[in-house]
Amino acid sequence: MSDDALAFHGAPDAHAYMVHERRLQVLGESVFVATPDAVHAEFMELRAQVDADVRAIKARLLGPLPAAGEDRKAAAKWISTQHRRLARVARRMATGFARNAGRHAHVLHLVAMGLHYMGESVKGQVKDSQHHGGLHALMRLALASGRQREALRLEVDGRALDCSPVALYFRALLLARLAGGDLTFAQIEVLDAWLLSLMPQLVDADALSSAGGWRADLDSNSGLRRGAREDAGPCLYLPIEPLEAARLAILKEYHAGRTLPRSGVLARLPIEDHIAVIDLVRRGLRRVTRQPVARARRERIDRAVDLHVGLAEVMAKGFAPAPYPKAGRTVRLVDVSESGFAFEADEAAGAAVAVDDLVALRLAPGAPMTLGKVVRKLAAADSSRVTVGVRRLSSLAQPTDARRALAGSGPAVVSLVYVPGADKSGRNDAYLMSDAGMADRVVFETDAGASVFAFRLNRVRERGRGWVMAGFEVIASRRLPEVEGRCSP
Amino acid sequence: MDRNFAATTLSGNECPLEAFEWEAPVTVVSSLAPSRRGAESGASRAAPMSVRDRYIAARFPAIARCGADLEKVQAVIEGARLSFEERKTDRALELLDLAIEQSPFDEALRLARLEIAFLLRDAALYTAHAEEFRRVHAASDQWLEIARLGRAVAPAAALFGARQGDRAHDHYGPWPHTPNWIQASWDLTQEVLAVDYHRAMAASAPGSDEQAAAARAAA
Repeated sequence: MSDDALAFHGAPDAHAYMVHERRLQVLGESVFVATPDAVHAEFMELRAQVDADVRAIKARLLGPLPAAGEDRKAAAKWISTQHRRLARVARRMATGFARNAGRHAHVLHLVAMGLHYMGESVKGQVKDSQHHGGLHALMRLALASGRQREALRLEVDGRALDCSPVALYFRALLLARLAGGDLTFAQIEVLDAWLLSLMPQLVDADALSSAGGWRADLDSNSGLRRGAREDAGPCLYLPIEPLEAARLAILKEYHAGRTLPRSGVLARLPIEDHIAVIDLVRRGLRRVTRQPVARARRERIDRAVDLHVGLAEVMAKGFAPAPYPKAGRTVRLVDVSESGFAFEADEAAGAAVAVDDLVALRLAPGAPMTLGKVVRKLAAADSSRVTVGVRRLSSLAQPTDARRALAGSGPAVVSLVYVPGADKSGRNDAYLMSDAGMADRVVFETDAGASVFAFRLNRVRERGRGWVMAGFEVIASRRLPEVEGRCSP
Repeated sequence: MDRNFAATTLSGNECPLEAFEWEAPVTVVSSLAPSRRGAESGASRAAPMSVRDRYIAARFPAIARCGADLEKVQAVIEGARLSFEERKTDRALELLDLAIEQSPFDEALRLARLEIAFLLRDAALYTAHAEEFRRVHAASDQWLEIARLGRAVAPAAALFGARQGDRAHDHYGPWPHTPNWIQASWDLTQEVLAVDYHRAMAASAPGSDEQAAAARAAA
């Protein structure tokens, strides 16, 4: 299991993992020659050691002293790699034992192990973990035995987890469906903690209820889909009602001042991480019950562009006149649509971008700066490149300044980015600004045309790391005296 | 298997092992209705406020910085209305839910929530909140209005009584007038100002017709 490319601070001993690697290979071969008890015991010892190392690394990654970005990425990739390998071994062993009549004693446990580790590997957010053929194959084994709902107790992260094969199967599919590149490492762990607490609710149904739900096509390579299956192929349904009830119950916990989990490293994460998961789950469940929105048509392109990341960089360089100052970060634009765009980045540029970041680039040479919010980031399994999905905020934004109407504790003049809405009524207009600027509901003044407008920020429409896009109300205006200095363009 | 392996590999790690914890299965959704006894004893406020305050501040920036800010009823209702107008209905209802937990006997908050449920045409939600209102504010003179809206949005609900004859001031559309419990402004001045500002900024944008004309004049 050693991998020089994945060296990071606190990595388990490479030599010891070479021993593991050999054991894994032997395990795969010995299904047909060794006794099932011996092979199963060997696997359980191996997973116990991998789990212990993974827990130690996760505790460090989620702890109060953040690891360096590269170190964090390498560690997360290492964890994902180990889990994918354990999942493959468990699947191979379960399949081998299932074929051999009379050797079924360990099949269900190995199926559960395989499903569990496939769920863990999905959290790595690499592209190939979104192909679920192996997951469906394991579930077919459980279904063939008729024991898919059988209660099991697995040791997971050092604690006993009461579960069933079908619950582990849906947990893996839900992780893939809900967190496919949209969440950070820490946020995925919060989501998974919730799913692990919902094991009793993750039960299959024979048909879709009137409230709707997801389905998993057992003969496919894809993840959860909406609605009923139209052909006669095998599938399992996951009803939406228990999940929605659980979502509301979890929300109530936060309203009552309790995080979920209530203690441990996840409870000590910033509350914004928990809120990101709450929002993601709500959106995910809503999509099941609402009519699908037609996807904006995507245009494939291949163009190198300069990428600005973060509000400070966007404001400092993004709106400067030609010749445009370079951000020094080149990425490859791969598709563009009305609602957003995607780019691929190498390791260095990719490390600078995270979900929720504000980014800006020119979609074509000489085009105005387009602002967007990073909504997805997926790594390639076999290289250090990442694919980043961005939701478009505006291509018509312009920088402006605003003065405090009354002297206060904050700065007298603040720099903002005006983001016009599509509606000419101005009701969807907004300002991009530092998140610290939203602290007070003070009145600002800004110049536009021949007038001074007084406005007050009154709600947050979008937000990310260090920035908010705030709605505002214009509360007064007056003509700008000719002699008065102007503040905005 | 080398039994010393775990100790060997883990001794170099800086952090002690800490279990990732999950909670007991969540199986029951708590009732929407508050307990008067619980509210009176300050049950919701006795919860660890730091997490609740942090949640509220992060969830509703510019509206509240902590739970106590939710006692500013006007600001809360305005925030909920703005969220509702931007089709963020979950956010609007959550804000009102939290504010009602904070001030369980504030009538205005409950009325605003009822009006949003009505505007959503959500019969089940409206009926549930109306029942709760009835329990908490049994003597409120707003009940007639609530029942009037209830008969429109949830005609099958016995709670709102039998359909009554049209009143002189009811209009003839399919839906009754709303009482404006969400406190939408009747004054259009701000809307006009918003249009003016939008237009002025569009004119000053690089590449706009006005900017091009100014550049030509300067040349």
